[in-house]
Amino acid sequence: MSKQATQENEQLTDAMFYILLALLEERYGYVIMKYIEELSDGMMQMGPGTLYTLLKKLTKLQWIQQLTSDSRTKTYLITQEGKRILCQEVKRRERMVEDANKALKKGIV
Amino acid sequence: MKEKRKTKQILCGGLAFCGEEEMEMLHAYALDGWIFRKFSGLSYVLYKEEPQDLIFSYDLNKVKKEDAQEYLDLFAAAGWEQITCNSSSTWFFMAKQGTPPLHSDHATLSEEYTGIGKTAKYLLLVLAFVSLFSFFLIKQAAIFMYLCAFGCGCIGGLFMLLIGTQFRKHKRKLCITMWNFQRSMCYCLGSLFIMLSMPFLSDIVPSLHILWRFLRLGAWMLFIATLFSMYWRYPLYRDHKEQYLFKK
Repeated sequence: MSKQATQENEQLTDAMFYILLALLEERYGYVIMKYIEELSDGMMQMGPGTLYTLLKKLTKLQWIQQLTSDSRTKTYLITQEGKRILCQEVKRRERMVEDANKALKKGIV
Repeated sequence: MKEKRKTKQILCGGLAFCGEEEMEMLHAYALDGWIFRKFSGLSYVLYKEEPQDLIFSYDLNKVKKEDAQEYLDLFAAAGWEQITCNSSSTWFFMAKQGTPPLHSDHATLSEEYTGIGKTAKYLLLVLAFVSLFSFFLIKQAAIFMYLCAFGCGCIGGLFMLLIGTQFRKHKRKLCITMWNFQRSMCYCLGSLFIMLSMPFLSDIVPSLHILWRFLRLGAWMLFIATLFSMYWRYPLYRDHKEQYLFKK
């Protein structure tokens, strides 16, 4: 199994999805958490433990990269690969909503 | 003259088994004025202070030294203060009541437990090999019988740990909250067993009599230490907070 294939088989959870959205611009640690909360109107509250684990995981998958601009604050930014995965995921979810609307139009008695 | 603060020590029952219950217990203690300030590797150290409404939590991420500052800054910004602990893979935190929890995504949380599972599986394999090897050599010398029994005992313990972590992955929990008192009793009986079997061992393999002497001395020390710790900790067992934990 090629490395590419293994990466694509990785399940993109909601939390990972939001982190990728947050890192379309260069951000760090707590700012990412605040941004996600604002973006989702408080629906998605990310815990620091989850955020840290996922930042390390996404860096390993090369969907985000760590930029060391300052010796103290480590910032992150999405990579090209990450952008591609994100677009793919947005399209997938849009399709799901379309399918749901089709099914629901046929009526729930 | 500096006054020494009153402290209380509570043995940790194993985070993989009853981590959440123990965090709730620490919260109850904090409301009573006993604040968890340090983890000594085996037990929670609580200091007597003013009652505070604090909640506690832990994280099992392996954090490298260079990432530690980033890690702690993230938690501090979210309202979680670090509690002293000499480990780079287990981290304890405290926060005011109402602070959002450390983990919001269950999938990532269960992944942390797989780390423990890997070590346990490796150890299990080694011990299984040792036990099997000793089993075939039982007729040669009694030491192999003991090695086999010891190996099997460890395997049993590790197996429980593996099952516990598997349960955690599937959102369930294996609760083996043994009373600290009962655990001390086990150590006590175990060391007694070792001591009583010394004469038989020295009969069967007399050439190693110096080894048996040392083992016997060690077993005696363990026995006395366990008796002492049972006596010392008995008031803690009657503490109604721990009874609250087991009523659930």
